[in-house]
Amino acid sequence: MTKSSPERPLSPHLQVYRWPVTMLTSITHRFTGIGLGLGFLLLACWLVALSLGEGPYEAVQAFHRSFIGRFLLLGFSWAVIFHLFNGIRHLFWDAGMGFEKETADRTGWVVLALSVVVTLALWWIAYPMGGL
Amino acid sequence: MKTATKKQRGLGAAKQGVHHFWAQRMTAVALVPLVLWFIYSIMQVVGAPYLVALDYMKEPHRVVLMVLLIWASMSHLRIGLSEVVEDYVPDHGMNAAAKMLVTFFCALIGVTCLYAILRIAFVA
Ligand code: HEM
Repeated sequence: MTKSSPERPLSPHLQVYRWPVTMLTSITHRFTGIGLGLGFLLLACWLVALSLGEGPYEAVQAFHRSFIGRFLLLGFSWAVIFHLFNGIRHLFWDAGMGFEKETADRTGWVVLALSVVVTLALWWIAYPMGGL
Repeated sequence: MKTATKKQRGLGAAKQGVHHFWAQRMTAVALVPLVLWFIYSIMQVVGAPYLVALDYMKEPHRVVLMVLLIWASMSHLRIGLSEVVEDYVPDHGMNAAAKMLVTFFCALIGVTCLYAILRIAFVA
């Protein structure tokens, strides 16, 4: 019996394994999809408050301005924008376009970067509008 | 030996697969313009006082688009979450129960939003 020599490579080395960007965007699509479902609770609260009157509406607005409220809204807005961009990427794949490895890697990075940039830009515009 | 193949043979397909796949894509396509419109609209009423927001959401075309947004989103969410359940809940009973929960959640959120939108349009 020969023991495997230590020079032989062990595979795969999970600690040094770099996640391909396509894997990252795939799990993020699922994560943001679930998050959006929960985010609709925020939308439901806002709509119900608006339908009930000024008191409830102001209470919800005050919550949105709180630290937790802003944190949730920031997460929700990024989730919407990421899922929208990456969803469009999915639809192109379904139509048979852009599924080659290099293209899928490149669009993955584009979607990730663009979702962050667009979210920050929208907050930058919205921030002075409502003290949000 | 009872292999996985042997266990499922004869049971047939789940039947709903293609239908769900297609419905998920159809709602996704509808959601692209609806969500773009939603982002644009929300940006108009961020931090708005009560009466301004109310007048804005009362606008007939916004009422219609909001109803479409909620409807498409909840159909899409129901299929999406069912797919997640399908992946992570192997037990037959638990799987059915989780999907039922998903359906109830989507129906509850959807109908609550629709009620509020109509109330905003016709009552508030
Ligand atoms: C903005 C427009 C949207 C587009 C273009 C879009 C697109 C898609 C696509 C193509 C899929 C299938 C992904 C796959 O096959 O792995 C998907 C999954 C999903 N979407 Fe959306 N979606 C949109 C909005 C939404 C909204 C508003 C919600 C929540 C209410 C949502 C929740 C989900 C969930 C939970 C899944 C399942 C995730 C999974 O199976 O991994 N999506 N979306």
